[in-house]
Amino acid sequence: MRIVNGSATPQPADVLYRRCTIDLGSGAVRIEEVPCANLEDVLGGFGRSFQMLAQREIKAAYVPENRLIVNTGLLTGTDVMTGLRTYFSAYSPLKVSSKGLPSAMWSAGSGKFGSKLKWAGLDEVIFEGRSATPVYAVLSEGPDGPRAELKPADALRGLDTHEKIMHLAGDYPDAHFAVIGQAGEAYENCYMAAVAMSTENQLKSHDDKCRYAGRGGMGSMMGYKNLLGIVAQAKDKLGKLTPDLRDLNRAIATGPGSAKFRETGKGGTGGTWSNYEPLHKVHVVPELNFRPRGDDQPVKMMRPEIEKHFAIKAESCWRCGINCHKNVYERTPEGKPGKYLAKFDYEPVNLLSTNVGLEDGHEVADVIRLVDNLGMDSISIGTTVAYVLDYNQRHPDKPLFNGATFGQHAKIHELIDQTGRGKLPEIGHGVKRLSESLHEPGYAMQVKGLELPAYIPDTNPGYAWAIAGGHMSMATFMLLALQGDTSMDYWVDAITQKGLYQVRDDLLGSCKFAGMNHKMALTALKEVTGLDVTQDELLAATRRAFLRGLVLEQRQGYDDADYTLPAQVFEDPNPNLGVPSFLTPEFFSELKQRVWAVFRPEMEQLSA
Amino acid sequence: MMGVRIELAHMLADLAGGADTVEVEADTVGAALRALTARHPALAALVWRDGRFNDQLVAFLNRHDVRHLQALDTPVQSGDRLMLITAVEGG
Repeated sequence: MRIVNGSATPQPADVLYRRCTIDLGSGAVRIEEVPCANLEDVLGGFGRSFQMLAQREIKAAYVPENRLIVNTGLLTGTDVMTGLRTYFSAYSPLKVSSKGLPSAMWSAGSGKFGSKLKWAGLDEVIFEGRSATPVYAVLSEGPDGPRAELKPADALRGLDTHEKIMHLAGDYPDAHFAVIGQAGEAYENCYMAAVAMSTENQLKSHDDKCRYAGRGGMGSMMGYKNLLGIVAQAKDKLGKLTPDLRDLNRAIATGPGSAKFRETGKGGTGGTWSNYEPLHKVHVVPELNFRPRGDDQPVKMMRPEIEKHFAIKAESCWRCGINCHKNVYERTPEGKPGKYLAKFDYEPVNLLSTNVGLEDGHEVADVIRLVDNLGMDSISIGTTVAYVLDYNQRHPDKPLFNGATFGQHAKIHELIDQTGRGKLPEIGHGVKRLSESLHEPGYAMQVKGLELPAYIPDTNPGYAWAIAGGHMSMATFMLLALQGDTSMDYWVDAITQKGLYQVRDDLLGSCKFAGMNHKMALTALKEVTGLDVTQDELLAATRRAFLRGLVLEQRQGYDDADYTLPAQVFEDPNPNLGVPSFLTPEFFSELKQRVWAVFRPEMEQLSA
Repeated sequence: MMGVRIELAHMLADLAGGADTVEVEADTVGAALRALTARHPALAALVWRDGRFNDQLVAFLNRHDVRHLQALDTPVQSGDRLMLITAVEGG
């Protein structure tokens, strides 16, 4: 990123970002500086990539014209704590409208790949077309600027995510990596593959501790393109911490915004995993395919229970003081961490344990690690498998696949393993397609073709307007338990004026877990780029970026019927929930009218 | 009475009119929270549910979860730092 006119208040066109375009079909590489069109372009992430996706009409995900955009935000690769994010954007094979058209998606992850990409001199890489043979891309810093080349990837074929990363790490010092596992390679049969990114911890410990851009099948897109990995090679480039930046990082590491994710005893609740406790108090922890029973089963997966049998270490991405990674190890006889088992974040833990009926820590660690190593989105596979188990319980006379039902670890392991290896396309294509093929979509936990995260839909009408995953692009999933407000005005305001701003960090390159308020984000931008952005400008850019997501959805055929919740919410309300029941068809219908009355005029302006 | 600095994030700060820190005088955590919601009434319905502390929130006194201390009865000292956060966040 470069500012050309030296003005203290540069206009977007004065800001140039460096883009590398690689034609996977021909191997041609073009590296250029591109002037920004607006503040979203300047900030980056999906704010920029969605404008590029809008330039092409894409009717199917797996076509050469569907570009895979890998980019960063302004704060990626800077000294701002958590400035580590990489974004993968494309029309998704998984998220699909009822008319069958793919939806624009982005997925984000940390690790150190994005920083290395930035330090190699690139803000963005666009992969055009498709390679005829498996390749990986090497992006590196050269004496005259960034370089890019494609290399044969035959040696990587069939390796899991960790194996691919460690293989590449042996050949490329000073590099970090973004790769797919077997699931991505089986893209035709698995639409829910993730992109795994390496961490410093992983490269040093040789334990499989990747971070993932999981949602929407961006790993499947890499697989379709025959792009098995990306290497970003550059020396670390650390800036000089200014006093303001030091204060900012201290505030991130010790302030209330990240407290949720820090360790107990360090001013934290112990990570996202600790969601179990407050959600269980009101019986909304997903159980047995998002159907809480009002009992105490979820207690078995709470951290204090797991800590009785395992050692847990809080670890981190590079230079992050939050330590949000809660990694579970065998406990040695001395009580110390032994063999690494798996990472326990709330989403994978819930969706691969309580929600599929598993309660044993070893079994849960086994399936979490299996999903990670095969390179799948734990949310999509967990939610889709839960549907299969539910279906089989409802139809004992004609069960699907291996007949697995809730709690059967070996059979659940088999379903996941087979899906990740492309052997079960019915599961690999996601729960929307599967449930519709079975003519039983009512208890399929998906909205707009994307599987729900571990917050039950009975509590969150905001899911209908999330544009890239229900809990990462609309912050309304926790509100009913927190405030208990069921008024129409409350929910209209929550969706149209508050929840959508959760995506701000997906432009900036910072992690949501940093918990930066807007003032902190503006300080970060000022300190590392010199750009003076006002809060109003930042929020307006975030809002435009979000609304472009809705515009793109509707261009891809999403209509009124797509903006809904699983039918079970309306047709068979769960009496076991300890929160108010308010999502009637009438309520939701009025909510839709009120939300669209706010959004539509703004969307029309963006479309004009 | 002791001067306590209350730190807020996210929607809690929004409900406090954008204030991410609020200084109050109090001798216990509970009194500090009552002083907070008296100063920022928009927070009251969130902090207090049926007159009791909302168990979907967590309070930390100098990095210690007050549930592991004496909860709302925990005494505070001048210069103490009290953080109030929502108990559920995504990930």
